[in-house]
Order: sequence, then structure tokens, then C-alpha cells
Amino acid sequence: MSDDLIEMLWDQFTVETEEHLQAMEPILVDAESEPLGADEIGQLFRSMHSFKGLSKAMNLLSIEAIAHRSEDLLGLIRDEGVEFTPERVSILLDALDALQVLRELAVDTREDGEMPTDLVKRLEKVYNEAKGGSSAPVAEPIPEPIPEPEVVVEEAPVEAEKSDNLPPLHDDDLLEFFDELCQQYNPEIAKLIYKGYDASADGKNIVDAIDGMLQAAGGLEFTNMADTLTELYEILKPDGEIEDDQRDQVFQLLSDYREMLDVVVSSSSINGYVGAFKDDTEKLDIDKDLLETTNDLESLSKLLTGSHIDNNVRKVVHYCKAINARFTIAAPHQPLAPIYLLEDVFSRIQDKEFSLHEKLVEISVTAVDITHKIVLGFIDKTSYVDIGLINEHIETFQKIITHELSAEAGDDEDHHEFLENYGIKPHFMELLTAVNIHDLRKSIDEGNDVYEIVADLDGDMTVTQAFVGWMQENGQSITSRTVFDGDEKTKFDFLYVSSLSPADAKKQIEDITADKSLLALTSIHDGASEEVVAPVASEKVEESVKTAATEEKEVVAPSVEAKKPAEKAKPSKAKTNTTIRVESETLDRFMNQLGELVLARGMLTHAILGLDIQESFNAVNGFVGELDKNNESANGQSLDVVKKALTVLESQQDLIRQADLQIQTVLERLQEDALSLRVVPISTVFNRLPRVVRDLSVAQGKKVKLEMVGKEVRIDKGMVDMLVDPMIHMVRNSVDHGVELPEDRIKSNKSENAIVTISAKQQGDRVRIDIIDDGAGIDHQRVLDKAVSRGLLSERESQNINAHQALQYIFSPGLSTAEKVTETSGRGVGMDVVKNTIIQLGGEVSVASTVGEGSQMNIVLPLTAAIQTTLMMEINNQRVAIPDRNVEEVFEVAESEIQSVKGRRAILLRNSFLPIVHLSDILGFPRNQEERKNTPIAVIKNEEFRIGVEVDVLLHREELFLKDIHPDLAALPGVGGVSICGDGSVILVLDTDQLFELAAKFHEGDYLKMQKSQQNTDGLVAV
Amino acid sequence: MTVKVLIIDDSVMMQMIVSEIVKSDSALEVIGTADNGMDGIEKVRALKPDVVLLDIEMPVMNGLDCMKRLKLESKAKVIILSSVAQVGSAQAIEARQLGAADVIAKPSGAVSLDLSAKKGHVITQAVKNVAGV
Repeated sequence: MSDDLIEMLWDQFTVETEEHLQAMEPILVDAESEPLGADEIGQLFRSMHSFKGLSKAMNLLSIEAIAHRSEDLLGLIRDEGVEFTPERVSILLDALDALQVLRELAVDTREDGEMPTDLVKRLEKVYNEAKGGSSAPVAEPIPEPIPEPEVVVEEAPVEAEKSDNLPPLHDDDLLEFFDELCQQYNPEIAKLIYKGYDASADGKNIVDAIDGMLQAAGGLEFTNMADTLTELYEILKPDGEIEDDQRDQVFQLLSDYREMLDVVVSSSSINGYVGAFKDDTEKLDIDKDLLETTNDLESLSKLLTGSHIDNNVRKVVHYCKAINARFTIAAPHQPLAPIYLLEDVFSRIQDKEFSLHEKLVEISVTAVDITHKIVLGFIDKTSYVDIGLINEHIETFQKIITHELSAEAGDDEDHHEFLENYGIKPHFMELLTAVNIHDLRKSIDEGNDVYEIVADLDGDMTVTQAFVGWMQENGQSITSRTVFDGDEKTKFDFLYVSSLSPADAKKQIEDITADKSLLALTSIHDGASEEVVAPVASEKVEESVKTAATEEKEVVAPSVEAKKPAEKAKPSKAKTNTTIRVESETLDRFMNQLGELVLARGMLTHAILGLDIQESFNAVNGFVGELDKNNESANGQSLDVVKKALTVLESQQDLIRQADLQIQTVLERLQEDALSLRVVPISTVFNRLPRVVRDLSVAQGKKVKLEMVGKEVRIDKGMVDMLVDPMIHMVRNSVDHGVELPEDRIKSNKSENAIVTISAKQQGDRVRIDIIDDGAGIDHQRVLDKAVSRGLLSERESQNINAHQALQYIFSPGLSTAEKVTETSGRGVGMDVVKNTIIQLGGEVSVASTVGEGSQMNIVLPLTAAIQTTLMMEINNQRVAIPDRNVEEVFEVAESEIQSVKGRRAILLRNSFLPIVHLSDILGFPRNQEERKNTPIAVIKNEEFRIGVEVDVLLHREELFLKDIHPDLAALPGVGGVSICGDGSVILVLDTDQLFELAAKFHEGDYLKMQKSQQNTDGLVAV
Repeated sequence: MTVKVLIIDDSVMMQMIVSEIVKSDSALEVIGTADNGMDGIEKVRALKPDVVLLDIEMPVMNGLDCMKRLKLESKAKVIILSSVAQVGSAQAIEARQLGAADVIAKPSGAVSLDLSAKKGHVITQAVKNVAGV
């Protein structure tokens, strides 16, 4: 085993054991106060189990011994229902401590520590008691040798155990999983039902799906189903091709399979995705219908060509009707026009309107042939019928019929005139065929009424069907046309004859259409048109049209999809969280390089698109233009070359500009994603705290309940490590200094159980963490006295300070208000370190407290440390940046508006004085002496103060990637970090909190008295 | 044709050790690793291994539940590789009932011992046995 691998294993051991320790600790601490759920016990068990396995792999037998025995005890608790008593919790906490120590030793030295025999014995004792007083040894005696033959490959044949005839292991989970597989595979299998499915494209998938379900059915011991699927598999393998003569068998097997699935579904709660077959099984019937249609067509063809056609006219009509009916079921939207015509012709022959002759028979046979082709094309979806051919045929057919009709029924023109006079509108007249005219005339002669009905049939399918049904039942549609209204909506305009009176027709149609699809019904009579149903109010029409349009989408979509069952029911992948571990170092490197990339892109942008280059272009262009104008081109040819080169350069620049924009977009996305890589739940930090609280409160005899809120809030991974110590320190402080002893609490009328609440919440791009206790609170006067006695401020200054400001002195070095020094706190180191750390993280910390009621520490942190939005500004020709989150607003003021308040510069901003200070002054830069009319001012603020900062020029906002700062630079007052700008120049990023201090110091001797940001109306201001 | 092996274990360290052992035999090939049973099923579906080396104690979905599902899903042979599944333990028997082709203990002393020579062969041999090599 290579050294590299061993190194990697140790690294991994370090990471994983740390994770398990962190997972276990808070649960065990919780276990002391409240009963654990099964999940938590399971987690404890697993972590301890893993700990054991990991240490065993690394030959760390002391760790393994503890983990092993702890795992055994947890096993009893998890599996045998043994109670998790405080004693058991307590010994497991001890075990955890020991594991922690031994692990650290192992990580540092790669050596196994000394076997903690005492602890192991105690664990064994507790285990044995838990087991029921049995004195049998728990695990192998210690020290545990690694017995070579311990690992035995079980040679026992699998079959032997399988034949035990144990009941098959069915459980709901497993059925659910079966269901998932059904969902995945059945839509694929259902494709088989299509006769025309494409074996080359789908075949392999179908075979795989059958194989998958076969495996599943076998696994659940659904023997019949497995057998059926095996048969199917045998027929279809390897690529899903089916011979024609196997088709029936395949259908039979499929329908058997479906029935078996039905049985499973009906006897369980699963769905089985039988639905994938449902629609398609109807398709199976359709196939039958189509098949019969072709049979009928063949019979029809025989009839027509047979010698007894004269006697079989009725039969022909019957066949035509049957064929039309069948085909309508199979393909509702594809009328078999030739057969309709055929039916019409033969009905007329039957009615003796005209007689059958050879030419008519001939064309009828062609009609049947064409229909045959259409149907066949529909069945296998491969061959298409030439629409032109069909239309041509229909035309011929109609001509013959027209000819027949006019021959039979006399003068065509005569009718024409009659109808025009009757009131039939020209738009219909031009549509009317001889047949139509014949029918219409006949209908009018029979005393029927004529209507023009304009209807929107694209909406609700049921309404449409009902309407069409009504039309068929109550009269005859002579002809129809489509009309477009302004809404790109197609409507149908019918010329309709009916025996119904206009009033009845109106009422019936209204009943059917419920105002929705019907727009108007006009009665035509003797040269007059009379509107019967008023058009729906136009607004409503529009609405109904819109509704219809949306409905149409809804209706159309599934019908399209129904043709592709595979797409319709694509298995929704079970969502699992797959994670990979990435070393944080790798991640950091990645982030750094991304940062470099951002910088490099900035430089590129600057280099290519900067003013310099633009100016150069302009200069050259101007020069060339000049030469051109003056005709100085002794050398005209080379001038052209220069011009050409310029054009090329400019167009290349354009390309680069586009590419640059694209890079920018991608980089932004990349940055966003990269930032999300860096964030982890704050629970990583919080989980360390319960143990701290528990240990300390036990040691001090206090009763503390720890509540944690917002564990899921995410923070930058880089902050976690730095945040742990400050958090622990503050929580300790709360318990140590804040929380009173139970008896004292009772005296102060408080519950003897103190509550420490730690909450995190995200506020915009910041995270706020509060540590709140309901303890004794902090006496600000004592803090202030202490601060004065330490010389942190003068007696006089202390009198001008409010309680809140005074409290903040607890973050000053060397200040501890605890009256006695305890083990954990009170040495006066800590809170200042806490503050420094938080500031390093780009955050802020403050404290609030009410004596007798409790204290509240408040930390605000940026979400991410590395990239910050800043406001760029310029002083003395040097660009500097201030974190944008500290900038409240920017504006310019005239010099005349700047006033002097107690000798300090200030401006009146919305009825409140805002102290202002020049950035050059406080940073110690020389002042730029240029005269300006207006002074740009940025208002900066922190939790406590706000001031206006004068600068020379306010530039713009920019995202800066903060680099690690050189220690020498860091020592500069006011500088929080550096960044490198697009042009390669270094930008100083200022630290707002330090700026406030600098501003205060700038007016030496007179301590900062700035208004609090909350109290803008104070009016009293001094800087 | 090498035997394709998938390793399902919640510990990356264990994945590394077992991978190393399996890879030491040229007849075997590690085609992937998974962190828990659920992940394992996905990987089995995607990678179609011949043999699955499966841990028992795992978060999200444990090894036995994973086995039940794998049985519905794949023809891959499953070898239980877990210290829980000591020979003859209840879990070993259940694993056998569920159709585990073999039940072996996890390696120990990985660093101090030369695994591929001593303990490793137990695993590689078991994989080859069930794969019929």
C-alpha cells in the first residue's frame, strides 16, 4: 500500500471521525434532558459503529475498544428497547470524551493511545446491566488481537439458505420501490402496443424495460408475472423486433401482464403505473377497429366489383356507415372523405335520386382503394397517402355526382337564382356545389328553415361535440366555411337547414353551448336575415375566446402526448442527494483561481475596451482621414491598406467585446455557484455548543436549557472554524456570568431553569446571530467604572456615555466584570478576542443588556467573506473602496451647506446633523488641493454610528475579490483588505469600524461624540 | 472481461480501502462508489456492475433495505461487507435470506498490514467466486 494512499487514508480518517464526533455530541447532550427519537438513536449507533470500523481499519485498537462497547450499548437501546437512562447517557459522554482525546492523539502521532481499561470495564458493566445483569463478556476480551482467521469467507451455498421456505420478504417499502420501477419501465413496455412502434429506436429500451420488470417481479416472487415477462422477453430479445405472426402472442402476453399488475395494484396501495397501458390498451382495440375497417373495405371492394352490385346498394351503404363509424373511433380527427362521398352517392342511389352506372362503380372502387391506403397508413404510421391524390379523386367524384344530379334534377341555374332570391348570402353561394344546391332547394321546398350559425368550436370539446350532435340530429349542414375574427381565432360559419322554428333553435343551442361557443344564429327567410341570437357582448366574446384559447392548449397538449406514451410518463427520477466530498483546501484553491479569473477578465476588458485603445483608434482614424482629405497619398495604395487594417481591427474589437460580455455572464454564474459551494449550515458551529452549556452548568450547579433556532442558516465555510471559539466563549460567558444559581433565580421570581437561546437568521447578504440569556444581565455602570479604572476612558468622558455605549466596553482588552475568576471565564481575556475575530470575518458584534432580565449578544456577519460589493472612491488620485453594506447613501453638497457645529464640520441632513470628515484627513493622506464646487459625500454607518465621509471623487460600485492582506498593509490604520482592480492597480478596501475610530482620533483630545444612528433627531453632533 | 465492482459504503475512507483492495486484482475493476443504499441503487442502475460490495449500517438507506431493492432491479451479485455482519449474526442470516452471495467482514488494520497480500485476498477471492471467475 503506497504511502500516498496511507496519507490519504489518515486525512480521511481525520475528517470522518470528526464528523461522527460532531454528530454524536449534541444528540448525547440532548439525551440528558429529553427522550431521543429513533432517528437520533439510529444516528448515534451508526456514528459509533463507523467510528469503530474506521479505527479498526487504522489499527487503533484502544479507540476501537471504546467505540465497539459503546456501539453494543447503543445497539441494545436501538434494537432491544432498552431505556436510555441518564447513567447510560453519562457513560457514553465519557466514552465520547475519551474517543476525542484518543482520536486527537492518533491524528497527531498516528499512534494508538493507551487502552483505557477502566472506561472499557465500566462500559461493559453498564452494558451487562442493561442486558439484564448477564455477566457474559460483551465483546472480545481486550487487548483484542487481530485473529487471522476471523474473516472467513462463508462457503455455505446460497441455495441451502434460500430453500428455507421463509415467507418472502414483502413490505410496503419494497412495494413502493416496485412501484417506482413500474413507473420507470411500464411506459416503455406499453410502447409495444403500438403496432407501428419503431423497433430500431425503441426496441432496445423496451427489451431492457421488460428485463427490468422481470427482475423486479422475480425479486418479489410474483412468479406468474415473471413467467409472462420471461416469455415476452424471449420473443422480443435482443432488439425488440417482432415477427408479424408473433404479434397476437405479444398482445396476449401484454394483456396478461397488465391483468397481473392490476391484481398487485388492487391488493396494495401502489399505483403500478397500469395507466401507461390503459390508454394504450384502448389503442389495442383501435387496432382491431382498424383491422376490421380494412376487412370491411376489402368486402366493399369485392361488392363493388361483383356482378350483383345492383342488388347490393343497401349493403354498400351499410359498409360505408360501418367503416366511417369504426374509423371515427380510431381517428376522430381524420374523416375518411372518400367513404363519406361513397355513402352519399349510394344513399342517393338507394333513394332513387339517380341510378348506378359503370363509371360510378369505377370511381367508387378507386374511392375504396384510396381509403384503404389511408387506413393502412394510419395503422403502421409509415406510409403516407398523397393528399393531392385524395383531393383530386374527391373532385372527380363530386363532378360525377353533380353531373348525375343535374341530369336528374334539371336546371342548375334555376336553383341558383332561387336561392339568391331566398336570401342566401354570396359568401355561401360561391361555396355551394351542385349537390349542396340540390339539397338546399329540396329542404326549402319541404318547408324547412334556413339558418346561418357562426360558432367557435375550438373551445370546450364537450360543448363542441354536443353542438355537432345537435346539428346532426335536428337538420342538415349544407355547407360551412371558416371565418377569422380579429383575434386570430377560427370560427365556423354553417349554412344549416332545420325543421325547427327559429325560436326553438335558438333556445336549444343556448342550452347546449352555455353562452360559450355559439356566437350568432341568423335566420334566413325569403330574402331577409333576422338575427335571432344577439352576439355576445364583445368584451365577453374576447374573454370567451381567450378562455377557449387556453383551453385549447390544455386540450391539445395531452392529445399530442398521448401519441408518445414514452414522453408522457417518463419516469421521474427518485430525488436523492448525491454529494461528493471536496477537501476545503481544494475548494479554496478553486475559489482563489476563480478570483484570479475575475481579475484577469477585468484586465482584459480594460486592455481591449479601455479609453486608451479607443483614443488610439480615433487618432489613427483621424490621421488617415486627414491624409485622405489632403490627398497627400503619394502612396494611395498603402493608405488603403491602413484603412482596411483599421476596419478589420475595429470589427475584431467588436467580436472581442461580445466575447467579453459572454465571459462576464459565465463568470458571474460561476461565481454564484462557487459561492454556494462555500456555504455550510451554521449547525456545524451550533452543534458544538450544547456540550459546552451542559458541562458548565453541571459544574456550576446551574439549570440551563439551551434553545437553538435557525440551524439551517448557511454561512461561509471559511468562517466556521473561526467562529467556533468566539461562539463558545460567548455562550460560556452567558452561562457563567449571566445565568444565576437556581436558588437566586427563585428569589428573583424567575423559573429555576434558565434559558439560553442562540438564533441565527439571514438578513439580506448578512447573517445575524443572537445569543440571549435570561440571567442577571450586565450592569453598565460597573463596566464603565472598570473601563475608567483601566484607563480606557477618562472620568469626564464616562459621563457623556449612555448605557448602551458603556456596555460595549466589555469588548475592550483587559476588562472582566466577574467578581471571581472561574475556571472558564473571568480572566479578562476573551471578549476582546471575540470582537477581533468577528471583525476579521467582516462582521460586527455588540451587546445589549437589562439588569435582572438578561443579556443579548448580537453578531452580524457577511454571508461570504471573499467577494464583497464595495463603493469605489478616489482621494488624492488614489482609489479606495468601502464595503457597500456600510454605505447608507451618497450625495454631493455645496461647500456653502457645510456648517460648523461646535467647531466640527457637519451638514444638516433631513433635520439632523451629520458630522462629516474628509477621508484624506483621517487616513493621513495629503489633501488634494483642487477647488471644487460640490463635495461628494458618502454616508457610512455601522451598528452604532453614522458619519459623512468627504472624498474627491465618488466612482461606482464594484465587486471586489479580497486578497489575503500582507501583514504590513494590515497594520495600516483603516485598511481592512486589498483587492486588485481590472487594470492591475491595487485598491485599498477600508474597514468601516476602524474609520470611525480614526475619525474620532482625528480630533484628538475630544472623544468621539457622535449621534447614534437610531437617534437621528438628537441634533447634537460633534466630530 | 474484468469483473465490474461497485462499492457502497458511507465512509469514504472505507471506500478507498476497499477500492484499493479490489483494484489490486487485475481481474477486477472498481466502476464506482456510493455513499448509501439510495445512492447505491442509482449507481447500480447507471453503472450495471457485476458485483456489489455492500455495507450494512448506512444513513438514508441501510444495506439490507438496499439489498431488497437491488434484488428487484439488478442481476448483480451482492456481497455484504460489514463488521455488523459477523459470520452467523442475525444480520448475516437475513442478508443471506435476501440473497447475498456472500457475507464477509470489513478489513481491519489497513495501514499496518499489507492488505492486498493478507486480508485483501479474502475480498478479492469472494468477488471472483460470486462472479464465477
